[in-house]
Amino acid sequence: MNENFIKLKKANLGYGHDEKHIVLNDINIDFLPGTITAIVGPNGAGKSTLINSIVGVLPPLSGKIEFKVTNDLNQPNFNKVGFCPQVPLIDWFTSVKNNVILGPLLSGKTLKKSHKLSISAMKQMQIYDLRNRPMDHISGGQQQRVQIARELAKNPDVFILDEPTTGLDVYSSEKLFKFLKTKSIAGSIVIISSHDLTIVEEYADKIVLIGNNKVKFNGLMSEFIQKGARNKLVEITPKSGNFSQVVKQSVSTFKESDNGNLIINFSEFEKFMNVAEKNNEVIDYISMQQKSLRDIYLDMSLEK
Amino acid sequence: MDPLNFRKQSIGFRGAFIVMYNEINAFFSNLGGLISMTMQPILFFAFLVMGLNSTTNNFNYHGIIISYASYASIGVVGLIMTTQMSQAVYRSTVDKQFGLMAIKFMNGVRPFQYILGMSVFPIFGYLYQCLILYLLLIVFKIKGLVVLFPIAILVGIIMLLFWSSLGIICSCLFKNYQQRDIFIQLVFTPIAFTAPSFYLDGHEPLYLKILANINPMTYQLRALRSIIYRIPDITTIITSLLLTILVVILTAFLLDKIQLTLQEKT
Repeated sequence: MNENFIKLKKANLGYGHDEKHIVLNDINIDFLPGTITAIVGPNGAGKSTLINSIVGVLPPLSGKIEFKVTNDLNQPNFNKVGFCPQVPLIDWFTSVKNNVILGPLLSGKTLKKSHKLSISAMKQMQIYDLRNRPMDHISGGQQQRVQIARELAKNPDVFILDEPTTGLDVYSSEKLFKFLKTKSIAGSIVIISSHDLTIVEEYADKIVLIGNNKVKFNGLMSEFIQKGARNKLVEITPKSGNFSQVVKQSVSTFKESDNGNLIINFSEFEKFMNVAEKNNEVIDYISMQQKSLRDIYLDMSLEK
Repeated sequence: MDPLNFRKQSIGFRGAFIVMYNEINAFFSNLGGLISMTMQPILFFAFLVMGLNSTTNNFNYHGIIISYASYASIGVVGLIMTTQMSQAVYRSTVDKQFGLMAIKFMNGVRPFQYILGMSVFPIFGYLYQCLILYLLLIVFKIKGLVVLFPIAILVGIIMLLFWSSLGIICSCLFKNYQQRDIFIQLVFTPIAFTAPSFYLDGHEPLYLKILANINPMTYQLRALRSIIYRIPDITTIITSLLLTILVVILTAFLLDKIQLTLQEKT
């Protein structure tokens, strides 16, 4: 594994020049090689602020951001970064292929090599047939593919993609993430902001949840799921008897489902079972409601 | 490294070539622009200048007897320069507004290379329009310009750098399209008309003399005419070249300080 890293240390991020305009407070995150990190959070939480600060478009209000992606002092660091902002970064005067070739050219490839890389990236993003079209003659989703192709053609070691699946169909999103996964396994740093939690759950290794001006969670996806799982629910179907006494003695909150079943938190399940056993109550059926990343995200986003 | 320093790194002169390559592609993709560029020298020279030429006698310009058409042909070159300045503004506005300037800078294109690269679009437009003008001079048999006119045009490229750099500075200051369009209408268009493009230099009314004296194009037109009519006026030529160098340096300085954005609000 290489020694590349992107680190944020005690960074206060935002727009403007003073601490009054803070969007994200006291941010400490390490982005390391071999990892896909997903930045998630509600609209306006600061995902793009975080990404724009990482790439140096937005200076941190205080704190530090460190970036190391190359040992070659003669090569600008950003040449090794594939960066797609949320907004279309496009030259509207030129064609699809001329937009794509800009990526490898800027990353130091020769014209011949850049042509080759562009063709391959356009094929990968399924826009090769559109290569001679002007940019304003293609759809929004295709424009998004153009800018992703431009960055893929750079053959970067770091991918920073802000909402890359916006405008992409399910098949293209899946294909892109599969590719990012192979790059990550090969040692690339991959940072993605996304609202597509299904794909994030499937491919991300780390998750950074932001909201209320802070990082609410920063860790492995498995830890995030585990943390969320503590809040999972148990649905109990009583066979007979009076459960109201058991409920009173064992759980703090409960719900009744439409079919009369009892829904309690998993954390109180053990106590509930002990009390039910003592009272000789019989349970017909127990089902665990496993929470998806989406459920956990919704729970945690609402937490203060 | 601090990501704020990405833009301090350089990919060397290659940066200028990359920007140039992109601008050449943009130029040849802009067919509509090429058609309107074709019309401008025809309208101004064939219809305006030649029309006035038929009602004007030859006159003495610094001891040389010349026709109005010969004199005003350089005025059309001045007009072409301001048109191309507008092109520089359009291109650099798009570049800045859609974050391409930011991406180029972050990848190691330095301001000076950027200015050179972005000037290619207006230079191509300028050469194309001047070629049409040159063909018109041949068609209308304007005497004494066949050899020296192309040389003056080549020197004019350096002067065009002045206008394209100024265009890049202006586009960095505009906050939206309206500001840009108003500025082009109110400031750029009068530049060619307040300079001695179509009126005889030194015979203008006082208000126009004042405006002409503060207009850099006046000195550029004088320098171009001094080349065409072989009037040794080294001071004017050097002044014009120095003005270009100064504006290019100023533009590079400002671009180095400008806050990079990925997309501006329109």
